Amino acid sequence: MSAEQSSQWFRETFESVRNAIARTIVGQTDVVEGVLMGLASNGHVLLEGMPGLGKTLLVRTLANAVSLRSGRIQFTPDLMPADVTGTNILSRTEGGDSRFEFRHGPVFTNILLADEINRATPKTQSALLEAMQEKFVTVGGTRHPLEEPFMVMATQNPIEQEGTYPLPEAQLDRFFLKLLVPYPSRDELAQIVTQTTGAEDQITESVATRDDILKMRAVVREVQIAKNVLDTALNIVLGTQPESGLAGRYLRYGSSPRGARAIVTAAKVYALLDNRFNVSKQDVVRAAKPALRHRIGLSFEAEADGLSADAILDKVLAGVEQTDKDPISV
Amino acid sequence: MKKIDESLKKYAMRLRFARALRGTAIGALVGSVAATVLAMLDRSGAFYASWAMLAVCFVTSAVAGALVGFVLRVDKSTLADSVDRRLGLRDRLRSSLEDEEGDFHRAVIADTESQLTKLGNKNAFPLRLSRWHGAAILCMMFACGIFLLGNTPLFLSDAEKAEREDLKVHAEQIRKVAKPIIDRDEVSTAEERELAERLEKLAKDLERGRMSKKDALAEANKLSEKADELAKQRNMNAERTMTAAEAMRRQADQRKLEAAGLGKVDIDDLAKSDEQLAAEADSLSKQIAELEKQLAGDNLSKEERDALESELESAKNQLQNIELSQKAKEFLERLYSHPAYKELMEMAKKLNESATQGGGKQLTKEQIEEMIKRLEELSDQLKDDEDLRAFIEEMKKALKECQGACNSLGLGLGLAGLMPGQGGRSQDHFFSDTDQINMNKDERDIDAKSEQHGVRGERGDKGTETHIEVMGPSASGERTKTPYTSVLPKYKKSAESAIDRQQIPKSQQKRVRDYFDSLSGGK
Repeated sequence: MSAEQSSQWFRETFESVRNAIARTIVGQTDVVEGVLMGLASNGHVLLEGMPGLGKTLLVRTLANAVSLRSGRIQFTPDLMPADVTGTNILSRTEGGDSRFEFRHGPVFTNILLADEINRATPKTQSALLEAMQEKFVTVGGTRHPLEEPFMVMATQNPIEQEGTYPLPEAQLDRFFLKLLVPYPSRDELAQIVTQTTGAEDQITESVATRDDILKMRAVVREVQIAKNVLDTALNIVLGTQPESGLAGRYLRYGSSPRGARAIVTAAKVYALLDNRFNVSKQDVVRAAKPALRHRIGLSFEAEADGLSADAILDKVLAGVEQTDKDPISV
Repeated sequence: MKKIDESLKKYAMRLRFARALRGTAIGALVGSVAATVLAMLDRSGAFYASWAMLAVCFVTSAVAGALVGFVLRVDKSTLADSVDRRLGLRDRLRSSLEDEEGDFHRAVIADTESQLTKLGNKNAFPLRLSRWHGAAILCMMFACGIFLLGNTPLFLSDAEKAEREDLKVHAEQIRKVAKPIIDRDEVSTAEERELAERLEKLAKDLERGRMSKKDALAEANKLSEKADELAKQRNMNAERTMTAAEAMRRQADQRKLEAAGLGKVDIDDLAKSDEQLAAEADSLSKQIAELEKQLAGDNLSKEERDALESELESAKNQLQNIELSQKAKEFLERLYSHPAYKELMEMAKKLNESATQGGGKQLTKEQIEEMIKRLEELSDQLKDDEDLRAFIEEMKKALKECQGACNSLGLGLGLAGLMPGQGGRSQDHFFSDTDQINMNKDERDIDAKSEQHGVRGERGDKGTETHIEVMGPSASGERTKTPYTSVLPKYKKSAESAIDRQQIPKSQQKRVRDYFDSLSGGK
C-alpha cells in the first residue's frame, strides 16, 4: 500500500470508528477524538470529568466499534493489586495433584476502564504501572504478556478529593493524553435524554478490527516531521521547565521526555486526519495541551492565583509562538 | 522535487526584490535620520548643510539599503519555512526538504508540489510599501522642515529680508578673500588658514542669516585684529629676511673688494655719496695743509710738534681711506653696472619699504607675484654670481612673507565692509545705533561708561518716536590722535548746516546747538 493509500485508509478507518461511536455517544467529539488518538498511537488516556458523562459507555462503545475486548475496574480504597492483575490460586488437577494456577485479572483485556483511579491506594495504582508501560504483568515471579492492543482509559473526578490518592507523577506520565470531559451542551443533553429514555440502546456496529488498530499505529509512525517543527515541540516541552522563564514561578516541575514524544505522536495523528503526510507546527500546538496538562506540576503560586494547568500551558505556548516568528521579514 | 526547487528559486528572486524594496526604505530612513541630524546641526550653526547634502544622505542610504537587501542571501530551509508560513502550506515545503527517505517522504514531496501547483502565482513576498517607507518619508519631511525653517526667507519681514540680502553681499566679499587662502596651502600659514576658515564660517553665517549684525560685527572685529597681527608678523619676518639678505650682500661686496686689493676700505663709507666723499676729501686736504703750515713754524715745543704730527698722520690716513673708498666705489659701480643688478637693487629697496613701512608702501599681490617672476628671470641672468643668486633667494623668501602679509591684510580688508565708519556700513541704521557700536570688544575692554538719554518728542509730521542717544567713547575704542578742538569747528558747521536744511527736528535743534556750544564753550 502506498503512503497515499495508507493515509487515506487511516483517515477512513478513524472516521468510521468515530462515526460508529457518535451514534451512541452524544457530543464529546474532542474526547472521542482523543480516545481514538490514544488507541491509534498506542497510548493510554486519562479522562477527567464529572460522573455520569458517559465515560464507561464510551469505553464499551469503543471496544465494540473496534471489535476488541474491554474490561472495567472500579477503583476503591480497599482494592488490592491482585484484584487488578490477577493472582495464583491453588488448583487440583484431574490426576489429583495440586498446583498453582494463574487466574487472570481484569487487566487482561484490550481496553481497560480504570474508573475513578484516584480512589485506590498507591499500591494498587502502581499495579497498573508495569501493565501500562511494559504491557506485561508479573505475578509470583512469572511475567504474563498482555494482548495487543492494550489501552488503559482511567477516569478521575475533579471535585470529590476527600479519601482519594492523587496519582503519582510517575503514574501520570504513563498516560499519553489527559482529556477533560466537558458537561454536554443543552442540545446534547436533550439528545442524551431522548436517546436513553426511548427505545432500547443501539448496539454499536463493529467497523474495525484488532489488526486495523495495529496497522493504524504503524501508519502513524510513518508521518514525517521537519526539524523546525520538532524544534517547536521541544521548545514547548522545555518551556514547561521551571527554569525556562516562560511560566517559571507557576511550575514545580515540567514535562518529561515522554511529553515530547506524546506531542509529536498526537501531532502525527492530527496530520493524517488533515490529509497530510507531514506534521505542522499547528498540529504540535494543538497536541500540546492534552499531552502536557497532566505532566506539569503546578506551584503554590499557581494554585494561589487560581491558574489551571491549561492556563499555564497557554502562557508557555504564547511564549514559544512569540519566539517562533517568520524568519524572513519583508 | 524539481518543481519545488524551481518554486524556491522563484521565491528567492522575489524575496530579493522585496528585500531590496524594504532595504530602500530602511536605508532611506537611516539617511533621513542622518539628514535630520545635519539639518539640526545646520540650524544650530555647528555645521553647514545644503539641500544637496540632505539629498545625498537620503539617496545614498536608500540605494545602499536596496543593494544590501538585494544581495543578502537566505538559505533554502529558512526560505521554505517562511514560504510555508506565508502561503499556509502547513510546513509541507520545509518537510519536503528534509533528508529523509521512504514512501511517506515521497508523498510529502508530491503533496507539496501539488499544493504549489494549486497556489499558482500566489506571491509569498509581495512588493508593497511598508511602515518603513512611511517612516522614511516622514523623517525626511521632518529634516526638510528643519532645514527649511533655518534657511527660507519666507517667514521673514521685508526689513529682515533686506537685511539678509545686505549680509549676503558682505558674505560674498568675505568669501572672495578667504577662499584663495584656504586653497593655497603652500603659501598660507596654519594660522592664516584657520583665520580664513573662520572667515568662511562667518560668510556662511551671514549668507544664511544665522548671525545678527551685532554678532557679525563683534566677530569681524576679532578677525580683523587677528588679520592685522598676522600681517604685522609677516612684515616683521620679511624685514628680518631682508636685513639678513642685505648683510649677506655687504659681506659679498667686502669679499670682492678684498679680492681687488681694496680690503682696507671701510664698507660703511661706500654708502656715502660721491659728493659727501669729495667734500670730506677737500676738508681733509685743507686740514693737512694747515697742519703742515703749523709744523713749518719754529716756535713749537716738542710736545706740540708731536701732537700736530700725530694729527697730520691721522688726517692723511683718513684722506687715503676716502681715496680708497672712491676707488672701491668706482670698482663696485663698474662691477655692478649690469642693468639686472640695478633692477635687483631697486626691487630690494621697494621690498624694504614695504616690509618696514607697510600702509601705502605695501606691495600688492600682483606686484609681489610680478617681482617673484622677475627675480627668477634675474636669477637666470646672474647665474655666474653665486652671492647675488643667494641674495635673490633671500629676496624671494622675503617676498613670500610679504605675500602672506598681503593675504592677512586682505583678510582684514575683507571685513572692512562690516566695520563701522568704513565703507558702506556707516550709513546703515544698525551701525548708526551707537548702543550697538558700544558692544565692540575694544570698548568693553577699556571699561568705558556711557550715558544714555531717552528722549521723547516730535519729529516732523511723522508723529511720536523714541530714540536712545549714547554719549560715550568712540566706536573703535582707540585713543584719538586728533585734538577734538581742531575738528570741532568742522562738525559744528555741518551741524548748523543740517539745522538750516531742516534735517534735524525742530524740537532737537536747540539740543544740538547746546551740545556743540557746551563743547566749544559757546564760541
